[in-house]
Amino acid sequence: MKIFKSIWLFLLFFASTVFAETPQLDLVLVAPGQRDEMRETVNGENVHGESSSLSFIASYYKDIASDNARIAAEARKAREEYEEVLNRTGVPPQPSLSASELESRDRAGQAIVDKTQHSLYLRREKTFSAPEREENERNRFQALKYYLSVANTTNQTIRHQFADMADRALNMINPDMHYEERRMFIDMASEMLDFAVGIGASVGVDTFQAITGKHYRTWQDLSETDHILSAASVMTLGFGGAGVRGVNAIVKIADHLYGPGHAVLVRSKVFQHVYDSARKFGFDLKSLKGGSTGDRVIAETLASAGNITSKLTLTSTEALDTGIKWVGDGYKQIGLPDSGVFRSADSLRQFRIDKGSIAGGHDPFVPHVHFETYSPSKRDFEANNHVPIKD
Amino acid sequence: MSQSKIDEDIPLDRVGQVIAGKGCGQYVRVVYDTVKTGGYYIFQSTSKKFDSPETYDGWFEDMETVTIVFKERGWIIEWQPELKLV
Repeated sequence: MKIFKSIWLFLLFFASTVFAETPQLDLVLVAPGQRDEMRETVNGENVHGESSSLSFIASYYKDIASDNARIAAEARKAREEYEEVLNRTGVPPQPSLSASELESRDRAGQAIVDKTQHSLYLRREKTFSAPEREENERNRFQALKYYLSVANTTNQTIRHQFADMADRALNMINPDMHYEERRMFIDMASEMLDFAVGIGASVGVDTFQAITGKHYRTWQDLSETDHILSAASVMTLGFGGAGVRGVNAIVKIADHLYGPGHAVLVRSKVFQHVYDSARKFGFDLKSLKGGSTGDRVIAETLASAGNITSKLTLTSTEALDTGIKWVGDGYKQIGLPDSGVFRSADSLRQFRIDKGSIAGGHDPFVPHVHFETYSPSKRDFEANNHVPIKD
Repeated sequence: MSQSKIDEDIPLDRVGQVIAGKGCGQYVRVVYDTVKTGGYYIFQSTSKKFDSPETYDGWFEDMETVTIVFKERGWIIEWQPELKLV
């Protein structure tokens, strides 16, 4: 291990100081339990502060979290009552609300959404002065450049997970269901499909809209709801905490905007996928959550598919420590001696610090290292995470 | 312009475009690194000059693996012999 570290430490330090000239825009996550917000930084300096659209979104989650728990509890209670009547009488209970009453309920729900939007608007207007907003606008465009570069690395698995959820929701519908319940499941399936498309295919649009707060085509100001949904979609690009919160947020927002029932079925399934991925590679995700930058890189890699550019940056020391943790005991170097390509004993993980990558000759065009996953049945990688390094 | 299926030889240091398979439309180039790693790089990019932000590299141990990876990705490549990287 010591030889492994000393050789590459020198190479990484040299390359990262010589080649790394491009300012790196990085996402820094505040540790869970402290402040529930995301900040963007350039070279370690906070450029968005409290005004970033993402921290604004984070404050929104807090506001709706308690509502969400209450609504979910009510949904469960309603379901239990429904099943109790069905078991006792053998006949599905009749709809408790007429069509007009349902419309009235929807209007009431919309009023709550409108009121929330208004209060959010006031809060934002009150908090920031005009020069601050102007400065923030400049920073937003700087961030936009970065986000667009990573937009194409959207995690396909999350997208498929939502599509899968939509299928499951549709399959759960049966003729004996209560009218309101059928409606809820159909709405849920529809929304999940929308999210699947929104997160996957239109992530570039969401990214643009989340940062600018404007419609990508008409350049009109977005409604607060659209802004929230776009930002939540972008947040799923981050992992190791941010992704979990992003998915959580989308589910909560769906609950809030479209009625109860989404969170209970969807959240656990999405999380299950991430946990399963981690277990497959022998990592305990709980120990990675909120851990070091290296741990977050590992979590990011585990939750990814295909080629991605990491949103995190490692120092050369962190890169080597994380690389050693990634390949684990019994790793071997493949290719020529000093190739810089290290495979885990089970051949399912690869850490690559080859000289070409350290020179930064391709995306992300700065010195970087690779964290890669493989499946036992294929020769191609499953995920190839390009992680910038900088000291 | 020559079209190659996966069972045919994969040329080195030539730019090709994926016309079928994963990442259809992207450009690829296979480079044999005899000096530093002894392996093969598959470069993939949305740009012909491989200078776009969506330019990535994969590293594979030998040509047999490269051939299998082409197959796994379902690639049919239209190789462009005239195009030289500057």
